[in-house]
Amino acid sequence: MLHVQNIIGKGAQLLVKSRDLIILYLDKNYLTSVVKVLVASNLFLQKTFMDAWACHFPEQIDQQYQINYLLLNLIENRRVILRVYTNESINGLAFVDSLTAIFKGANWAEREIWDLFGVFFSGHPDLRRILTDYGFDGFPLRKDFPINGYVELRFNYMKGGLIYQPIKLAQDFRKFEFKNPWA
Amino acid sequence: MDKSIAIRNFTLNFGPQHPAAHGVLRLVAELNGEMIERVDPHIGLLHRGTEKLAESRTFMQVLPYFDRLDYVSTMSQEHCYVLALEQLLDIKVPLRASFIRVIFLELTRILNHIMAVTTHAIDIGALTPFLWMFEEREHIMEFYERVSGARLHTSYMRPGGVTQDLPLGLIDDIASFCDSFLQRIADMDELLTNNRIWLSRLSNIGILTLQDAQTYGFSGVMLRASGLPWDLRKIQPYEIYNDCNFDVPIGTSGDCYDRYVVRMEEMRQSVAIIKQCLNKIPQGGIKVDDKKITPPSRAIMKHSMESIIMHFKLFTEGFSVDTGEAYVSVEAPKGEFGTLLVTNGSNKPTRLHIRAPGFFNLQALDHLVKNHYLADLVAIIGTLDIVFGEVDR
Repeated sequence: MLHVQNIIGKGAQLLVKSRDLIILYLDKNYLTSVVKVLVASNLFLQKTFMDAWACHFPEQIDQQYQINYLLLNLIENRRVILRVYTNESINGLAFVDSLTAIFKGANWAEREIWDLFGVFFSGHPDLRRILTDYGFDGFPLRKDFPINGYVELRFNYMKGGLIYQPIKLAQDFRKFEFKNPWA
Repeated sequence: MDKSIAIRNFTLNFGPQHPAAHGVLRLVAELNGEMIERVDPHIGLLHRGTEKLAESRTFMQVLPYFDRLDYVSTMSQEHCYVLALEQLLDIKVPLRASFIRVIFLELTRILNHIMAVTTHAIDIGALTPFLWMFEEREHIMEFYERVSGARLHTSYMRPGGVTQDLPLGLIDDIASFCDSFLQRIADMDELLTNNRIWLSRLSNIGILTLQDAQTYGFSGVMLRASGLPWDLRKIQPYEIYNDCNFDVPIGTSGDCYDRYVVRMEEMRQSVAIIKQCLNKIPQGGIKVDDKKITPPSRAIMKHSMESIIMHFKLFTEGFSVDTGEAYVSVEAPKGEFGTLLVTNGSNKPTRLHIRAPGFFNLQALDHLVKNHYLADLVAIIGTLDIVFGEVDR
């Protein structure tokens, strides 16, 4: 597996966490081609799509969104995490190439990342929201999204139906700072 | 005379309040007569934002959220989270705690598989297994209650061990439960396994090939029923599974019937594991001896000021975890349950990601039900063993 860099070449940086967990840092332009190698080459056979997730690091200016794919080799129990960073471009969307053409299982995982982080997957056949409500606005797992959200849903007797209204709390959510409690 | 009639497919909305939807699943199914051409599952009706909530809670406060994911196999998920924390904290669990964990993980597996098989049977139209086996679930939940105080949402696992030791007599009671439970499984076996209706409703329905299982990210029973002996308890043994003697049942054709048989056999194997653990469980501590993580005992707190302070600090501020990242996956009853934990040295996780097996299993529903009859849809949803707490998170 250490030969991976020689084969894949530029745009890949390797970090071996343990015998069976390897993290591969990639340039996002090489993502799909690297995945194709990992799936098809007899050296790797990472044929099983296990998981995809994103992380938001607002303090990293050029690399705010970290997208991870976890591929599994069912013969040798080897897990490879493919990690790419992306950022909002000038016209507003952060994007990564979709892996749905290679793994059907990536479909919902990518929809989830789009739903919660607002990272766009180019080439995805059906990039709708998945976990949040119909007509939801915003990307809840970004760090700048407040934990209470912006709207609340309640039943309105006058209208005889459900309405959304701006959230009203008797007490704001208190984020307690333990390092400096009196700040 | 040319008489052409345009035939339009019928679009059916199934759920979200349908008992066979196993929770709040909404399906938009496109039917050609009785044949399903396409289904579009709409999920997220039980989305509670566990991953977001975790970012504003201390590590200990996050633990109970894991009970509320898949609420029929609670302990397995707590266990996965706790393993991730232990990996980051670099602590090793005492042997007795490991045994207790495995006993309860396997009880959890039985609990889940009873639920999966019997509610599946209800969907097909057999009510009796449900009535018989839920009494056994009640016994298992009694064990939960005796050890943790809660029947369902136990919060029993802790980083570094378990909350409290087994109460007196529990080992004997679990042992006698194991014996009687094998008889109950045999009873259910007699009702279902060779039942003509059961066979004709399940065999050759929802066939999943190994190749499809891989590209869709299936794991657990779904993958094993397709013929691959892939069980994380064998392949990357955690806790004391290395010392346990058990078999991994696999299917041959990957249809609903195979998955039913695999689940039945897994319950028997779980009983075998529990029996071995009960015989070998050693004496000793049940929590790691690290005062930074383990709260002091009540007895010490009565006469030690520092212990009270430590206790207060642990339950308000909690403990801090160094900057790091851990991805841990365990063999939960439904499949491979994974937890990703990113920490930055504070007392709260920076990012928590949960890999729910049900999410990936449900994703392939469209593939599995294609060209099946509408009645088989219910059989396939049942066999996927989905619980919406974990699918929607």
